[in-house]
Amino acid sequence: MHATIEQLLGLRDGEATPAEVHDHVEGCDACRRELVRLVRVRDELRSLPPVEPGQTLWESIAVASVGRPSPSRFSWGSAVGVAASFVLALVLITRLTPEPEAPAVPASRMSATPAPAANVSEVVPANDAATVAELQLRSRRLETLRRAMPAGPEVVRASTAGTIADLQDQIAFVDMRLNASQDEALTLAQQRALWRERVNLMQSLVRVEYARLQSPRY
Amino acid sequence: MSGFADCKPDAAIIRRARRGDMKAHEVLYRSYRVAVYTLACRMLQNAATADEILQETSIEVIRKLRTVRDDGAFGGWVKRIAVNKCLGHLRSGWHRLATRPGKDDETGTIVLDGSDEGREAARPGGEMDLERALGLLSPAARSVVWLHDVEGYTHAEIGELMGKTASFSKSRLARAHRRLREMLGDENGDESCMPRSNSYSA
Repeated sequence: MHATIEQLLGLRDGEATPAEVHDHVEGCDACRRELVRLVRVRDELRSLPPVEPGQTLWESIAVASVGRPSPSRFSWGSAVGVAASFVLALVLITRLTPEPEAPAVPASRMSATPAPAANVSEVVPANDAATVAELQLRSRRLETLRRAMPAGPEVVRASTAGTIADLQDQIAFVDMRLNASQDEALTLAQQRALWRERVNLMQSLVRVEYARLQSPRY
Repeated sequence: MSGFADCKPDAAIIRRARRGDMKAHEVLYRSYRVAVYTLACRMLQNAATADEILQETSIEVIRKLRTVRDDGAFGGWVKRIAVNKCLGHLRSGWHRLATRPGKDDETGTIVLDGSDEGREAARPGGEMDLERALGLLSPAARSVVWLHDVEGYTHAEIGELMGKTASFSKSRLARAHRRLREMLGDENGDESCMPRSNSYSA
């Protein structure tokens, strides 16, 4: 009479096993040794050391988790909660490990094109001392946040769609001027003004798109 | 033992997280992150994939915490999410592309038994540590071993999780332990007393 490894595992784990198997194992040195070995392997598996994840994963999780509540559960309370989560995600974005500094745009004289007026309140004041690199980093982080947002509803208010389109056009115009600045001479102050404008427009766009996600379905 | 046994966050933290408090969610995350990451690393044997599993699990915890009624069941609930994420990844086409070609087992996943590493590990007298040997099992065998022997799932539960039967889980566990015995170079096993098939007879 011999016990299979399946039966020995059943004995090890306290599963229902025929009495004959119990009797055989008690009288068989080889089966008893194998049973002891299986117990030891299980104990060693359970004693394998835990594996630590990276320390910075939480920031990306917090950003990616921002989304709208399900339509059947919409409530102003949940919208406020999600809005608070979004604000925290914005704060977390600014605490992310800084990326390597982007190559500096060569300083030169600017053309006489006036800056378009923003139709939303500026978050970065004109007298803010942030450098071009810092403003570029904030702009990239806002792009990352915007990409992490889930797709919005297919039907939106015409005014909301118009605001989003307008902001996107203004950002495209700023990008065009930033691209052209590589050929034209821009002072450091003028580059900072353009990047400051881009950051403000991006923040406005993210806020409007976020608000659109919180709107109840029609 | 399963790291999820220690995952018992304060009920007040869970209540705050349910209301959307991200600081509370971060506290919850810190309570389960090692257990989830360890589970994913052991089952999938890939740190980058384990990162994804941890992120996907955490996002689902944040979005669905309100569905959990019993705060005491939080750790078990997170474990179920993480296990389903890992098994889903193993079933995915991406995983099949990412693993080395070899003999297909009945689940359609890639088996490393025929690999050079497997043959070298099975060389008589060849010994290795348990962690490495676990990594050389097929994904299905490794999953059954980890879910049963460490995470404490029954064969019926494992069968259900993998879309199979309890018998499938039992036979996979037995096959895996035979393979581990070969790789670990254990001299105590008496092959004449331990036939592969169930040939128990009076």
